Amino acid sequence: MSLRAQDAGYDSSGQMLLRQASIQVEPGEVHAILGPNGAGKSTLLKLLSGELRGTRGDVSLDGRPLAQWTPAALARRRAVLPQDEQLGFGFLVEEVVALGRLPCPRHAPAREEVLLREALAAAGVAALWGRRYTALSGGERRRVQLARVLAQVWEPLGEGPRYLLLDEPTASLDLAHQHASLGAARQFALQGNGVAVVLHDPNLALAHADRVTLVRDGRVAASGKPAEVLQPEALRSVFGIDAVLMQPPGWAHPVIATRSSGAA
Amino acid sequence: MKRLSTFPLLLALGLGLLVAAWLALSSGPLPLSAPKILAALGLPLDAGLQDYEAATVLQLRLPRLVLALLVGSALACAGATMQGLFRNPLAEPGLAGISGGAALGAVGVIVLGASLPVLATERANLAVLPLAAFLGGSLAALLVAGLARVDGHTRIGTLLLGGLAVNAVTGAGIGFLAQLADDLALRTAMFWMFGSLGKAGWSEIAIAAPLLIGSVTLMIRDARALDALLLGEAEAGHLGVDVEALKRRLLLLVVLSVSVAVAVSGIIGFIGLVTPHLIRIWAGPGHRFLLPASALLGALLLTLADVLARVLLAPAELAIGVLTTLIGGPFFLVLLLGLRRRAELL
Repeated sequence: MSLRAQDAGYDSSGQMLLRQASIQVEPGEVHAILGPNGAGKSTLLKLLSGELRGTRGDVSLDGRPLAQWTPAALARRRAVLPQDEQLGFGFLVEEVVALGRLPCPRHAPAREEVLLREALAAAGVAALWGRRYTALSGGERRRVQLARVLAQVWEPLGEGPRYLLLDEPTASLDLAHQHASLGAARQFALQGNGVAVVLHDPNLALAHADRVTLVRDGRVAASGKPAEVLQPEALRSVFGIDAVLMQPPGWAHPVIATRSSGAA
Repeated sequence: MKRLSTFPLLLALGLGLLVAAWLALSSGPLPLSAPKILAALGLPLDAGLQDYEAATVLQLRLPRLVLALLVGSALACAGATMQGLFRNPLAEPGLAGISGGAALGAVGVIVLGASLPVLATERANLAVLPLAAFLGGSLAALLVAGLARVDGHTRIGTLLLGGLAVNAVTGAGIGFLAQLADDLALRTAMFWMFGSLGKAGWSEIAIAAPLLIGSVTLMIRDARALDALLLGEAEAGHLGVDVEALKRRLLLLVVLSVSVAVAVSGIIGFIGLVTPHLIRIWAGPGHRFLLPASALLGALLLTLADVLARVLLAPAELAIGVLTTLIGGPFFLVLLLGLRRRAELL
C-alpha cells in the first residue's frame, strides 16, 4: 500500500526532464521533495499524479500501475495541488472548494456545506466563505486551492489510504501560513494518508516532513529522514550553498542556516 | 455585482419567455385579437376565427416562434459551452468562424446543387443542407482550434484571429458563390450572412428540433465537468474528468448545434456571446445553472429580436442578424473594456 515511482523517467521533445527517479510515498507520512530549479521535482510529482505518463519505469498506486486506474477511481484516492492556478472566472470561494467534490459521492446539501467549511477551516481560510475568488490575494487563492484538494480526499471512502500531491503549497504564503498549510498536510497524514510535497525551504522539510527526497539533474541524490539527508555536504553538492545545521534548545528538530557558497 | 438567487431568476426568465412568445404570436401586419390567437392554438373559444387567420398563426407565426426558441437556446448554450471549453468568455462559435464555415457549406450546396439534379428537389435540400453546414462548421472548427493550440494550451488570441480570417474567407466565399448563381440564390446570400427566422417552416423544424434539443441536453449533462475544466485541463484530469474525451464531445456538440442553427436560420451573431455573459453576471459561472439559464435567455432574446426585426421597418423586415449584431457588437466592446479593467483573461 503506497504510491510509488520505480526508476521513472520522462522525456519531452528530446529533453530528459527526469532521468531516473524512484520514490515511495507511504501512508501516514509527509514526504518532502527538494531540489534546485529544473531538477525534475514537478515532473516527478506529475508522474506520481498520472498527469504525465512516464517514458521509462513504473508508477503504481497500491501495486497497480497508474495506467490501469480509471481517472474517476484515481480521483477518489489522490488529490493534486498544481504549482500555478489559472481560474479566471468569478466563482465564490466555497464554489471553488466544491469543485474538489466532483469525484466524490455526494451528500445532502447541509452535509456538503459542513464538509466544505471543514476543508476551508483546515486550510486556514474559513473566513473567506462567500468571498469572490478572483478578488482574493495570491496567498489566499493558494490556501483556497489547498482547501479544494483537501475537500477532494476529505472523507475515507473505504477504498484504501488517500494521497495528497502538493507542488509548492507554501509559495506566496507568509511564514505563519506556510507552517499552517503543512500542518494541514500533517493532520491529513495522521489519519493514515500519504502526502508528497515539493518544497524549497529545507527548514520547512525539517519541521514538517517524515522523509525527504533530494532531486538533482533528474535523479534522486539522497532520500531518508530529514535531519540525516539535509546535511551541509548534501546541500553543498545539490544546491551549491554553504549550510550549517543547528539544534535550537528545546526544539524537536534542527534548523538550517544557509549562505551563498564561499561567502565570507 | 451581487448575485441574484437562482429561483427568482428562473421565474423571471420563464415569465419573460411567455411574454415574448405572446408578442411573437400577436405582432404582424395582420392584427389578431387575443381570443383569436388562443382559438387558433386549439383552445375551445368561439372567437369567430377565419381560416386565413388560423393559417397565419399556425403556418407563419408559430413555426417562426418555435424556430426562435430552438435556435436562440442552441446558440446561447453552445456559446456558454465553448467559453467554458476554452476557459475564456470571448470564445464564441461565431467569432471562432464556426458559423461562417457552416454558412459557406450550406451556400455551396445550394449554388452547386442547382447544377446537380439529385439536390434540386426541396426534399433533398432539407436533409443535405444541415449536413453540408455541419461539414463546413467542422472544418472551420478544426482549422481554428488546431491553429490556436500550442503545446497543449489554446491561445485565445490566436483562436480569435483565426476566426477572424475564417470569417473573412467564408464571407467572401458566400459572396463569390452568390455572384455565380442566379437572382434567387443572390438574394439568399443576404439570408446566410445576416440570418432570418422567416424562411423555415414545420418541415425544417422537424429536422432541426431533435438535433438542437438533443445537443443542448447533452451539453447540460456535462455541466459539472465543464466547471472542473475552468480550473485547467490538468486539474480537471486530477478530478477524474476524461478531459480529451470531454473536449472532443463538447466541440462536436457545439459544431453540430451551431451548424444546424445556421442551416435553418443563417448566421445570427452575438447571441452566443452576450447571453452567457449576462447569466454569469447575474448568477455566477457555475455551468449547472449557466447552461440551462443561457438556453432560456437565448430563446427569450432571439424571440424578442425577431419581433423587433419584424415591426421596426414594417412592412419590410430587418435581417435579424443585423439587429442582434447592432445590439451585441457594442455589448462586446463593453465586455472587452470590463475585462481590460479587471485584468482578467486577456
